[in-house]
Amino acid sequence: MKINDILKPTFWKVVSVIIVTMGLFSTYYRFSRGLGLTTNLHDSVPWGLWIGFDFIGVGLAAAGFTIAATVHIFHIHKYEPLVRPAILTAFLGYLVVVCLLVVDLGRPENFWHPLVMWNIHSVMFEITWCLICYTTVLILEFAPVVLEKFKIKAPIKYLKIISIPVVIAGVIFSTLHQSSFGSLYLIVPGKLHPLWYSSLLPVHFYISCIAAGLSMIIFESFLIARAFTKEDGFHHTELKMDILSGASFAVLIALIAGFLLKIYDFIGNGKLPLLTVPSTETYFFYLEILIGTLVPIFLLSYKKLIEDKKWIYLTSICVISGLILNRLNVSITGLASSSGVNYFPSFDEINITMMLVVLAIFAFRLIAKNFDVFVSNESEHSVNENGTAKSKQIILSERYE
Amino acid sequence: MVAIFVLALFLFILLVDLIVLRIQGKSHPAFEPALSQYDYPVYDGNVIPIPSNLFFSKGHTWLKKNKDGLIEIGIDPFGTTALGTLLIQKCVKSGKELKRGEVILEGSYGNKTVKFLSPINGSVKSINADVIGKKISNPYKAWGVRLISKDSLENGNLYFGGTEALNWMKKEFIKLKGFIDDHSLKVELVGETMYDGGLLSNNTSVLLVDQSVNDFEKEFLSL
Amino acid sequence: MLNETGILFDITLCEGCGACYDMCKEVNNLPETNDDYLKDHLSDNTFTVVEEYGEIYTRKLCMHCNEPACVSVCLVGAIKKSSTGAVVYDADKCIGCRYCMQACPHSIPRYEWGLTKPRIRKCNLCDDRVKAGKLPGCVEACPTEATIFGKMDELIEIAKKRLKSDPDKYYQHIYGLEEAGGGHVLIISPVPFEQLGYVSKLTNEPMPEFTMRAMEKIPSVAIGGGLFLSAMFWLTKRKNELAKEKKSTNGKESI
Ligand code: SF4
Ligand code: SF4
Repeated sequence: MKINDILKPTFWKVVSVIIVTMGLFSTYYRFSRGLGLTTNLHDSVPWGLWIGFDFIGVGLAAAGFTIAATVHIFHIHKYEPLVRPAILTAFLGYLVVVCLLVVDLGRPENFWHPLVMWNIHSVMFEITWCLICYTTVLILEFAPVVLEKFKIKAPIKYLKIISIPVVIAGVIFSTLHQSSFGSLYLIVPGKLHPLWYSSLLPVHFYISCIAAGLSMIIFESFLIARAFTKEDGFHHTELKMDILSGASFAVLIALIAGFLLKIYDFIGNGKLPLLTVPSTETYFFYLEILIGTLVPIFLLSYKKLIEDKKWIYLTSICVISGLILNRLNVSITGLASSSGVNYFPSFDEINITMMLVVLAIFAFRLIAKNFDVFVSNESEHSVNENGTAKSKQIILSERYE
Repeated sequence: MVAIFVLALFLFILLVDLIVLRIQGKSHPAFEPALSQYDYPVYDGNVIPIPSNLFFSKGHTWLKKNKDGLIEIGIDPFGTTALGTLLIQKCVKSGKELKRGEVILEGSYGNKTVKFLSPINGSVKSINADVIGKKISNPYKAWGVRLISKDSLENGNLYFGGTEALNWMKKEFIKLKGFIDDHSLKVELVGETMYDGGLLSNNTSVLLVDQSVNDFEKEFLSL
Repeated sequence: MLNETGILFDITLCEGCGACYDMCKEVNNLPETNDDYLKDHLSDNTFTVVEEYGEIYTRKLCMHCNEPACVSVCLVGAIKKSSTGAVVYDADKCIGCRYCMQACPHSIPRYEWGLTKPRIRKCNLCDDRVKAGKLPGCVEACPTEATIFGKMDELIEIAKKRLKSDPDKYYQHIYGLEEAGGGHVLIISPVPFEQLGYVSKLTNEPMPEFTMRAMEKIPSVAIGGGLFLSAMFWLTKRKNELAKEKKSTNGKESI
């Protein structure tokens, strides 16, 4: 890309620059003035938008482990083209989460303390370690792409040897920390609204992250097809419908599983009467279930719709919206009445969050431009594909004569 | 409240993006016409064969590299049938140093002439006199020009093959449908057209006007 | 447990003079936060408050739980239980995640929001004074002996005796003995505790138990998951290989 092309203003470039500039100012204020002046957090609301957004980010990055497991452990090679984008998304997603956590910490200069000061009874401790290990796994999984580019062959051989244990470790670390984000709230039975509090919270978090992570990668395929066009010099970015339909079907299964678990939880713990109590929480809960679970299940169960890209796109947005609602309901809405305050994030909190998201998208684009993130499935199994293509050609040319 | 706010922001950004695309005159990949909506037999890979050893250029010519290093160039199935049956009228002279973008072949749908541009630089070694003025039954057999070139066919920006070519070809047919509607060219097209799903309609008169030929060249035959 | 110490606060004896409030500020070098101590609330500069409910005066402070939620959640172990039973905090370790504030069932810990190097702030039962053989500030200051200090088992005895000897005067419950697993601050009152702003409806189970039930499963999930995935890896690979072999033999036959 030439300098002129980079500088040519487009709508989203201008918006991004504005967001990042505002975000940088807010970051400066946050570190120079402290949390009290720049956020709306206070003693009754110790956790706000940033923590809630961390939950969303981690939930949406879940495709990194599900897709890797599907392809490398269950050997379903159809999904090969999704592996690299999913791993990259997961990596950048986690980077955003870690940055937000550091911004959120009262004493960011002590962020390394969990490495040396251990309290194995703390869920937070477990999450920290899983995050560290899983980010390492993601780096190892993505390393071959980078090494290929720079033609450093030697380490790739070793990476290949350890690749399967690495993938397995990645799945386990993900399982543990994805569910542990739910476990964080197990200790506040009195504070979290019973609509969301449940001893099954970790399982709820785990299942919903699978559905939402896959939806995210579907949604992202559309973004990629929209933003990384051939004119920009990208290849293999077009939509691959069979893959998207397949992934949507997996989303459907995860959603149904999650919904059944919710029903089991509500009946088993006698929480059904709560559904008829008119309160803000109840409405939010209905909204979450409706958008995030019922509508997508309904749409995806039509064979026609699951093969139509428009509906696949819309359902993926629904599932992602459902996850956003769910995580923020658990971390903010569900705690509002027990804290007695109505929290709304400050300007600076919103700015910093948006800035990190924009930077992550920018990083994604930069990496996608310079490394082979998008590969076609043909290139990986070329022998097979060419064989069939050729035989087809013979039949066809006969038809033409 | 926060939950609604974040959700609304997310949806708002998606909406703005759709509007931005609309203003730029592009369509979002999720909402551009789905291929299945135009379920003509022509979109079936069995009817538009895409041989795996061929490359296609945006100007609807195909290229094939022979063992002897010569590159054969011909008109692809879209070009031979888009607005009726194509008859090739003229080829470049043998021995000419051809530049990419110069006219390589001239053909006609009925009485309207269209120009096909050379997808590649090279010097013309031989031309195929057999194709001139004849109805083409198999576009891939009817090569028009053989030339020798230093350019590589592996350049994915200029030439495509395989599924990529098939997808592109399908899109071109969808575009063609829009084109025909826009120029209110009714079904009385010349001869055999792909647009009808390969139906034969013989002896129909030509309704093409000059304007639509120019537009056609601009939309479909430019590189 | 036997040698651990704590305090017993008898609401019936409290006259709302605010001596404990003042002494707490003095002992901990805290700045003044409100002209009227009865209107003050817990904050980073106020570790205990005296609250007015009609004729009745109560105190709020950290309950120094036996199995504190705040200790169990702190990932770096910045909050610890001291040998005296007090729950104490070490600012040098703290990274400021504020999980302890979120987790505390009594919503006690406060934060120095205004500072760039903030600390968690809460009552530490004057751990240093106690270790040096002195009384906690509030106990020393209390003119009516509403707050008394002693060994836990003795305090429980006293509280039970008082409830028994005067059943009309006391609501028959010792707050803090079993709530959230119990703690080192016991409170007895003439009226039910929810009327006085105490968090009622707490389980008697220590809060960390709720987390432990999930955390326990981690090793089995890790090992079981690892085995399952390895097995699946091997099985699906084998299946694919078999399928391929079959294909290639089929292919030969047809040629
Ligand atoms: S009352 Fe709260 S701050 Fe005090 S020890 Fe118990 S959990 Fe910790
Ligand atoms: S804020 Fe400090 S003391 Fe509280 S849990 Fe976090 S690290 Fe521990």
